[in-house]
Order: sequence, then structure tokens, then C-alpha cells
Amino acid sequence: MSIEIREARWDGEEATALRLAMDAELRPRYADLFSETTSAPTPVDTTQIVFTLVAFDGDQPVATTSLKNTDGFFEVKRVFVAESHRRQNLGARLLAEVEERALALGITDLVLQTGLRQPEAIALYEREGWVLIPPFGPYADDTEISRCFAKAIVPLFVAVELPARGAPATLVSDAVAAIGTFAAAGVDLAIIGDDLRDAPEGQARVDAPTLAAFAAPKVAGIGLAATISTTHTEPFHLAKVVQTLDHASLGRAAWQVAVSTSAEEAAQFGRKPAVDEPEAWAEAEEAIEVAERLWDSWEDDAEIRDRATGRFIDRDRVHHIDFEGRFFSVKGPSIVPRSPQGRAPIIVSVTSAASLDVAARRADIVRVTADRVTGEGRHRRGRPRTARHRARGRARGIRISPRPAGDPAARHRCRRCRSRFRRDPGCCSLRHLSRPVRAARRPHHPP
Amino acid sequence: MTSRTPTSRTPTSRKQIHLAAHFPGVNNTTIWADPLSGSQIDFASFEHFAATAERGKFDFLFLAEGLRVREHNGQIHDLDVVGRPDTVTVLAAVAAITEHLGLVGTLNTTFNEPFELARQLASIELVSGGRTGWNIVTSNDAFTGENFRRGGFLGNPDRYTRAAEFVDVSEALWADQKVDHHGEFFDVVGQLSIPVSPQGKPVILQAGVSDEGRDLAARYADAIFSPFADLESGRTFYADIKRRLAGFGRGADELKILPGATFVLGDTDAEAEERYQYERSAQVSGATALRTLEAVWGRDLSEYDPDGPLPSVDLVVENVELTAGRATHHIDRRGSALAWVEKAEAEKLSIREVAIAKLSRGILVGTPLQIADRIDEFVQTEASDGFILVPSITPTGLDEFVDKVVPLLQERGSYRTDYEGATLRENLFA
Repeated sequence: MSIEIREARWDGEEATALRLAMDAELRPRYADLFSETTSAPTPVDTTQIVFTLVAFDGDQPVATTSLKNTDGFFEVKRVFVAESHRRQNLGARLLAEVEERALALGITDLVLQTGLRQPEAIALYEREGWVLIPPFGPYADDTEISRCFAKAIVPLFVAVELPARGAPATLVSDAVAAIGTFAAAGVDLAIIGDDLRDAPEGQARVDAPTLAAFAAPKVAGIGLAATISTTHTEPFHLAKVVQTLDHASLGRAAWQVAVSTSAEEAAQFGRKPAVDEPEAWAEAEEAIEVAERLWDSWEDDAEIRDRATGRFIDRDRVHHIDFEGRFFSVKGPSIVPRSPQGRAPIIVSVTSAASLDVAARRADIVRVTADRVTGEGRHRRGRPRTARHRARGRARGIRISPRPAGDPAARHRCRRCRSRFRRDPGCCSLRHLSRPVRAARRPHHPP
Repeated sequence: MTSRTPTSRTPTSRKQIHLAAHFPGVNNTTIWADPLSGSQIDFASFEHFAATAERGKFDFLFLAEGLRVREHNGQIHDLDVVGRPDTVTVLAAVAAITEHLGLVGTLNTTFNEPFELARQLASIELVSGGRTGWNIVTSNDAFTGENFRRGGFLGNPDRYTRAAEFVDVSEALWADQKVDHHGEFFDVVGQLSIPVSPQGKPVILQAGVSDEGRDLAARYADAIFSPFADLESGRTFYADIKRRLAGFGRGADELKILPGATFVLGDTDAEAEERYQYERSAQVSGATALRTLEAVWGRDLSEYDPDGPLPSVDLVVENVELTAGRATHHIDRRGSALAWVEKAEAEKLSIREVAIAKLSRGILVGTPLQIADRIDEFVQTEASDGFILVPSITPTGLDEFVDKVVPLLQERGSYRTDYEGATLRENLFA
């Protein structure tokens, strides 16, 4: 069978016929809800249709769906596969085609509504990585029957790690050349590793953020992640380092969180004895919290340069963070004004149960190794569930996990219009409200 | 790199001037309200500033540091530039776009740990090919400590002892040795795995002028960022430091003394004076004048007219620190207030006029020729070895100096026409 998916008119013959078949199939399932007094559904305003797709098997139209702009929500409408062509993955193919075309139009957030009594549809969306959300927009009042889903579509995101070590004489030039090669090859993110321990014989190491900052003006078009450990260091310092890297790279910075559990590293600092993984990651999570609060401590428009009153900043827009935790207390605000990305993406490499928990709660990008992808089965609720999700670094657990500390509304405030809730559909995308994976190459709100 | 033949240098080798460029900071010297004033945080500003300094063959770019946003009377101070980037990170990025310019950062020994900071500095050394310098500062305020694990603060003698131990440990680490240090403040066991830099180790600067600070400088520093920018006090300080060097077994030429100085240029005397008056009034607004007075009087004075007379000395509240996060503190408030009131009465000055007079320090005003003469006089008569220049406009404030004053210094053979060496140390001690 050769199926071809083509763009069609919403009100064209094929699409209309397929939708009528869909209505005929679904109506009986909801018959008890449609009393005689229920008015017919309002006809779709065709000017809101972004595109309609029809799948053909030869000349025969066999499946359809459309994308509609409903008051700023890009809504996938009326996904239907003719009975003769089910169980051939055609629904998934249609959705993939919608995603690809939407992305080409610059649309990165999709929503859809289906009904409680369409378990096969719900299963399809869950399988394809859609996330259940509260009923949105026109469905907001229908919490009983409506089941709404969202999906942030992100193009394939490729990151390469290079260790910040090598031959002493050529380490720096080799690293910059490698990052240049990655950028030319379309890699999104260079993750610069770090390790405070002794380098292997004959090799040198360099501080990762220093190398990242040095590379920033030399290589354009690639994200630069610096590895920084939280175990013996100061969260205030590392927060400003990442912010400054973000300023120097014009919004291309990321932070790979690391911990130092060896006796060797403890002895370098001499501040406290070595700690185990769970303790080190608990501290790391607190350091992430401090860093993010510091990054948010200056509002975007804090600098006013108001000549009339002689004020450089509006001090009501620069905030103490007054953080008091188990490991740190930090007063704030950051000494560095808000950086282009505001919050740089946080990367956690999963190497243990403790790091998996922090990754699930805090990370924008999760790193897993291949043996873990293939070697493990189901995980508990709230953790990455399938190997495929883990491999894509976009596990649903990460998106929907409630964040444990702070005001959840404030955490999900839109950075452009500053609204805490969805105020302007054209501005605050669902990605803000759902803890997105931010692509370093395409910051959502560029400077 | 443009390169001039060094024929203009006189063979009778005048003492050579060393210049450094202080990126405009977060005190009232920096005029943010000027139409030319740009961002204090965008990397493009650092790029422009560093390129100008390198064009002018300056020894180094100098960055100050802040670890807590300044406050006044319990609120964030909003009248001056607020916010700056992380020192180490900016220097690493500037290293990528410069070739010869030294990269000096102010970094605190009280709220850093030696292994981490020494590693960061060694890393800038590695990426820059040996152009790094470290201006060692200590912190004595609990206000800044509130941002750090350590918290609290150290008394004066302790913070210098800690700083000295900090530098000892750092130097051992920079030698790429296996360090096994157990001292009063630090226990450090480890090795950096970063090769020894082409200049051996970062150039060390120091700025404190207390007795402990002077000894610390005489023992460790390669240069001093001095506050003495008038000839008389400059010569006294210069003689004192060079004398102390001998006590640590060092030669008089092993430490450069570089006062910080702002400058105002005009093509004629009248233009310079006009510009000077504009800058002074832009630097000290009525609100800034009142807050400056509040810091001395230790109380709220917002009801006073900045263009009116000073408040009575009897209103001074002792032992209240209204400003936090600044380098300068008033120890004897009543004495300071009395001096201000007496000056105002003698010269018939308003609050704002007194503040302008008190806040204006180390200013070189004049035509390019006058300023070149003045700088040369400082160096040839041993009041300094050069200057750390502090422009008032970000980031273009250095341009005119480099275009107009530097060539005059070069013509008289007191200033390099090209970099002598590849490292900061080679250039500073050329």
C-alpha cells in the first residue's frame, strides 16, 4: 500500500466526506449527551484553518486532519482514519506531517481536544508524546467530557560533549576548532565537560565556563553549555558565571549541573568532607533553585535610565531572593542584570537514582546513556516512562512534574509580557507554562 | 596588529609610562544619562572598550567586581549604574578578541576558595597565552557575606592574613605542583593539571592602602591600583612602597604604582573646562548629592534642598551605616561632617556643590597636550609609574584619549609604540 498525504481544502469534497464519516461513527457514542434541545455545533470559520491534510490510497481519500488557529491556540482538528485503513499507523503519520508543516510555519506549540469516550484517540495521542492539559479556550467549561492535550514540537536537537582536557599545548585551539566544526555541521549545543580531578598523565584540563566564554565570540550559531559542580562551590558565583556566559554569547549559554563526590575533590576545597550522591544531588537541586531565583531577580525592564528622576533602575523590579535552604542562604539579587535567555537551560546527566530525580524535577535537557535506553523497562509515575522518551531527552515526566519549591505561578511567568497566566495567546505559549525544552539555537524570546 | 617602527623612542630612554583602562563602574563617576552612554553589560561594550585600549597599546583592561548590589537606607541604590557581569567570564571572552592586551580582574579572597579561583585564573592564562592579572581584594562586610556560604566577615588583620595565605596557595597551584597545604584558613590538597603559563603566573595587583594592605602589596604585588592621583601624595606613597619592597627582598622596579584617574579632554582650555563642568554636574545630581550627605550624616536628609545649605553637624547619627556595598566608608562621621560644613561655609557652597567637590578625585582636565604633560610629569618625577584611567562614558569614553593623548606620549618617547612582549608581565616590566 502506498499512502500519500496531500494538502487539501477544509471544505473540499474529500475532507468533507471523511469528516461526515467521522461524525457518523462518533455520534452514537455521545448520543445520550445530545438532547433534542442541543443546538447544532457552530460551523467552523474556514479563515481559521491553517491547513487541511488528506491521505490518499491511490485515488481513495482514507484519512484527514486539519490545523486550526483558535484564538491563538494552534489546534489539531478532526483526526480521522477510515475504518478500512486503521492499524497501519496512519494516524501517527498524519500527526507527524502536521508537526512538520507547523514547524515550517514557525508554530511550536500544538493543542487538541478529544473526548472521554474515544479511548483509541487518547491512546494515539499519548503514544505520540502529547501531554494531557486542562481543557483550554473554548473547551474550558467542559471538564467532564473533553480531554485536551498539548505538544511542544521541537526539531531534532543535537548536542555534542567535548571534554575540557587534552594536550596542554593545543587543548584550547583544538576545543575551539571542534566547536567550530560542530557549529558548521548544524549541532545545536556543545557541552563542555569538566572534572576537577587530576587529568590523566600528559593531559591538561581547563575550567569549562572559561573555555565556553573564550569560544563564544569565536564561534557563532551554537549553544555553549558549561559544566559546573555545585558541591564545593558558591551558587551565587556560578549563577553569575552562567548569566555572563549568556550575555557574552548573546543568549547561547546552558549549564550542565555536576556534583563532586570524590575525596580528591573534597580535599581540593577543604571545606567539608566528601559527600555521597544523594546528598550531593540534594545540594545540587538547592543550588539550581538559588541560581534560577537569581536569574529571575532582575525583571526584564528593570533598567530604566530615567533622566527626569535620576534613577538608573526601577528598584521595585530588582528583588532580593531571601533564599534559606538546607545548604545555603543567599540574599540576592544577582549582581548581573537579566541575561538574554533569562534562565539558561539546565542539563542533568542521569547517572544515578539521585540524579534522575533532580533531572525529572529540574532539567530542561536530560542526558542518558545508550545502555540505559535499551536496558530498562518501566519507571514509576513522574519519571521518564519509556526508553524512547528517554532517548529523546523529552520525557513527559519532566514536563508535567510539579516543581516542589517556590510559587508555581511565578515560575511559569511569561518572560515577554510578564503575565503569570496566559494573558496574550499570541505571546505566552504553552511552552512557558509547561517547562519547555529550550533549544539553544532558537531561544524562544531572542534578545 | 598595526606596528610602527620604534624610531620615535629616544635612545636616552625616558622612564616608560604604563597605562591601563578601567571599564566604567557602578559609582557616580560613570555618566549613564549622557546620550552617548551605552550598555554596561552587553558584550559589545567590552569588545569596543578592549579594542580601544589595545589600539592605544595599554598594558591592560581592568575590571572591578561587585558581589552584592549596593543599598542605601535599606533599599537598592538606584541613582548610579547597577549591575555588572562576572569578572572571570568577561575576561575569558575578551581574551578571544584581543591579542596583546592584559586582562586584569578584581577578585575577592574572602568569598572565594583558592583551588577554584586559582583554577579560573590559570584557565584564563591558558586561553589568553599569559595575559592575566588579578587585583586582590578582601571584604570586610557581612552585607556581602549574605550572598555566600561563608557568610559573615573577617576583621581587618584576619582578612589580610587570609588573603596572604590565599595567594601562597594559588602560587603553588599555578606552578602546577601537587599542593598539600594545611594552614590557618585553608586546607588544600590537589593539583590543577594546567600547565605553567608563559608569564609564570598571573600578574598580581593590590589596592588597599592601610598598613597591612601596603605590606601585602610590597610582598606579593606586581602593581598597585593607588588612590593617590595628586603629585604630592603620589610621591609620598611611591617612596613608601618602594622602601617597603626592600624589606621583602624585592627591587624597586619590581612593583608598578598606578593611580586611578578620571580625565576630561577638550581641544582648548575653555572646551575642557566646559566639559569638566558638564561632567561634574552630570555625575552629582541633587539626589546623588543628598545620598552622599546621608552616608556621612547617617540619617535620612531627603527633606533638604540640594541647592541649599548643609544640615547642622549636630544632626549626625554615629554608628549608623546607611550605605552598603561600597568600597568607601566613613569612620569618623562627625569629623567628616564638620569638614564638609566648614568647607561649605568658607566657600559659600550648597549641598550639591560640596558633594561635587568631595566626590571629584584624581581628575586630569585639559587639552591633550596638557594631559600628556601631566601624566609624563607624574611618571618622570616618581609620583607614579602610569595611570589606570577611568573614563566616564561606557564604552566610548576612552576613544578620544587614545586618539589624541597617546600619540603625544609616544612622540616624546615616554610611551610604547608597540607591545614589547606577548604576556602582560613582559609588557608591564618592559
